[in-house]
Amino acid sequence: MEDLLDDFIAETRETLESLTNQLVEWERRPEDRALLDSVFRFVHTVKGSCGFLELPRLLRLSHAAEDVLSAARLGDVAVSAELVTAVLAVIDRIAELTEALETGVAIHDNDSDLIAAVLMHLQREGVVAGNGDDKYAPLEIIGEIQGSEPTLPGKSRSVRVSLSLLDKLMSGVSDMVLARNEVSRQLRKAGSSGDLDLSFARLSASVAELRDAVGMMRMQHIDKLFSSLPRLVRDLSIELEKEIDLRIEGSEVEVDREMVEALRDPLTHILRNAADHGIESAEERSAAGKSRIGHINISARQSGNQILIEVVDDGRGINIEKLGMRAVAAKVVTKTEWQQMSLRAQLNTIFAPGLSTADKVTSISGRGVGMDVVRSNLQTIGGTIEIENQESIGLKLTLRLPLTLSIIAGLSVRAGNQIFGVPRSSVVEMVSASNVNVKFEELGGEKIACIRGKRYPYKTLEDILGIQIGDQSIGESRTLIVMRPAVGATFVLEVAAVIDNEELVVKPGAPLVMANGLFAGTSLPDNGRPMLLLDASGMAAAMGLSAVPQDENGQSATEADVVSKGPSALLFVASDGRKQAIRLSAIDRMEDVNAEQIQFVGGRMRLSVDGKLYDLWEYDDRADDAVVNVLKLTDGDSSCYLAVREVLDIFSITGDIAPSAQPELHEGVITVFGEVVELRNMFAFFETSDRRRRKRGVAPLCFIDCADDSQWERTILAPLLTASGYAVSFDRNDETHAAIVLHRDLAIVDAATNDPRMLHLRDSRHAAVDNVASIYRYDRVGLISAIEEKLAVGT
Amino acid sequence: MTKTLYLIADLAGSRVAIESGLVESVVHVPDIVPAPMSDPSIAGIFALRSRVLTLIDTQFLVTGVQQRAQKGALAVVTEIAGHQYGLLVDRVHDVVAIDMKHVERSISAPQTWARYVTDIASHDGALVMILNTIALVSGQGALAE
Repeated sequence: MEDLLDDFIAETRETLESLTNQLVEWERRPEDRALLDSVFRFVHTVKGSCGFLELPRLLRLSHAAEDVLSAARLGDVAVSAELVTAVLAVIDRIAELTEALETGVAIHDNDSDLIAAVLMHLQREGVVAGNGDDKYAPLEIIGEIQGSEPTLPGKSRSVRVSLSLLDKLMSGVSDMVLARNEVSRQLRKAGSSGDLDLSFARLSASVAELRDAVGMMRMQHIDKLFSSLPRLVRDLSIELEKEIDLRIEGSEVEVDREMVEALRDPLTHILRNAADHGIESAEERSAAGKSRIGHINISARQSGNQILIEVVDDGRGINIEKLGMRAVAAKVVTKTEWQQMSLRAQLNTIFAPGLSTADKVTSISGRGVGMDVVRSNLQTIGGTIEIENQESIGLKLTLRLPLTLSIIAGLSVRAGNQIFGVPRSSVVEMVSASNVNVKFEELGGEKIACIRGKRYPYKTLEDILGIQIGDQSIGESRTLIVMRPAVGATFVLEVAAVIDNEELVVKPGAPLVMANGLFAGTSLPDNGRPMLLLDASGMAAAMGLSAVPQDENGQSATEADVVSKGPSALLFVASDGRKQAIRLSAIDRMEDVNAEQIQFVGGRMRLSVDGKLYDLWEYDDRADDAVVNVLKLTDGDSSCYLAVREVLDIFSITGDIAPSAQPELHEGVITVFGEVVELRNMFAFFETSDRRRRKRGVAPLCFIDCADDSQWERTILAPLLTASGYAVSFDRNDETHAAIVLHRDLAIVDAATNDPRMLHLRDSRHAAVDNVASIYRYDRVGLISAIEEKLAVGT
Repeated sequence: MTKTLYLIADLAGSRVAIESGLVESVVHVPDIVPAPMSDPSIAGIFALRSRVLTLIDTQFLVTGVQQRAQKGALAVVTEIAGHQYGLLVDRVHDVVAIDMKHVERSISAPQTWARYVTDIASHDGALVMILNTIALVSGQGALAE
């Protein structure tokens, strides 16, 4: 029983979380049937479980809500704002009581008021609540079946695990990886046998998989944090009687789990401030010539080794004069000091303890918890907050958070005898220092790098870090990395060599190490030797580049440059020995792979990288090379690899592109450095590439109407649909809300011809029944395109 | 009558005591990776299983001469303000209970040590300096204050 109760609590909590947004959405579009259905399903599930677990208070609440909602579903009751509010109040109480079940805290019992508020809607519409039970009896029965499996469709189950346990797991797995590497070194030394190698490879692969999984466990979409905000704003706007439109962008940005928790309070506070002090009342807004509805935009994005969260409102902004008066009154600054301060410094006094610009203390903000707390909360997780004020137009707050503990794509580079990590996001390109396109100029004793005619500030990493140039690098060609920091001008950093391209787990560095501003943290790669991660902005600062003013010039110069010079492309020698070119924008990166990673399976060459299979084009398996040069191509969604013999150079496409006689293979013919080469057509690599996975947020539900023992549907059709990215159900309860209904029984065709979701499958290639459109059941392509067509019509 | 357990170690040739509750372990440092441009009291960073620790050149703090820390050097692992550090020591002896009654109030630590020492106690007839680990990781910059 105890277990059941725990399950119930966890499940209810989880469903509530995912429901929050739908609730707000529902209020905006009360007529939306799907939303009404999910709210109904929730209360219904709660009701079912409570009855079973003997939780009378929850039972009564959910029962009342269910009655009203089911009447609303039947159209007997109009869904009004009051009804939504009443139902939300009940759902809130359900949430409180559920939490209380776990904590044992008593919650004041005024449930009957809430229930009365809900049921009032039934009476008002003349539907007597008592009747409901008989009337909706059939629904109840359906509900009980659902109740026995109370998960929403498409929702996976989860458990709660303590963070410390997760950390322990994470460090355990990391240790395991290091131990594996050690074993692998030992094996190589001992000269191992084939069998041993094979079992070790298996162990190795599963360790890698495990590590990936554990890494994912720590990361979380920032959506987890954002999902509660629409509800918050909704409640605020009702309380303050202001209309506020909240927009959220970048929910897919991944941050560390702990970060999500640490951000919750500051973000809530900022939103409260924006709604309460920032956004004016509708009258004030129209008087000021603004739309009556206030807007708050929240966006998150990853920029280099930082996560940026911006909160923008179009309210009245901060009145600097008023702020000054308050600051002086609160003895934060003296009057003279205030007058001498820069505008920015004046603005920043808002972060001083004990300051508020609100005229009156409301229940929403101004309770002594000020921006100082927001800032100090952010500082504890290594973040900063910036403020951009446009009085009477709006306010923009930018929160910058470190990527601490997150995983970034990085390069490992060598300077002197030491290896450093560089976040790949700040790398624009890499060029060999001996490349013909690279020239060095001198200006007042300082070197300036000139790549393809464009000049950049330049320094070697050894210079910046004050370390010796390593012995190995003498005579070797060094590498130039063009870097663009999150803020500031683009510059060139010279390193001895670029070693590898890898995923780096960023760990915080001790304050003493970080104090010089050059490093973003530390990382422990698989070889067990820790390395310092370079901070692009810190490097720029060390080169004496000022961050702000050059930025815009540099930026626009770059853009102008691109426009005048045309798109960049890569010149390479293809596997067949001919020189060819490919657009640079399509190349994710260049890699060297082992020939062992390449296999001819499933009808084509494939390359396995980190446990995933990719299509590999133009691999010449007669060449007996142990290492193969490949280009990773991407179209944004999917990736494939192209094997090449040699990478030559990067150039800009200038002049005309002469059309090709084989447009499917070549985009055209261009002239590069006086030679005529073919420009490869990207389309060809992706058009035929394996695209079975649908890229959509939610898998559409396909209901397959068949007998319980039908083998074909279960063993052939269902796996095909699942593999193509659809959810499949055989449960008749799902029929009503399925996006597609598939069946093979042409006898029922007449009854349901009108259902636009219906797809008929036939057993033979030829249509068996005239005047009924159907698809041969083994016509995979036809089937998928028919489903897509129906989905497209449905939306 | 407060008795606390201390780890007795040699540091820059002198006998010191570190409260044992603060000591996570004593390890031989694996490969040390230098941290360029950092505070001179930082000997580098090193990996201990899956964690990255900062190695403090304690000898530098006291004598002003940087130690050439090498692989295999002995370090006391401790966590301070959420970060993990290794404090380089010459040798570790034993964990002993020191009675706070035996704190010598009349003698103060030599000037170079004063910043890093909270108390001086006698143990087994010899004097030991009880270290303030937080001061050890606040770097040389703090000296100027």
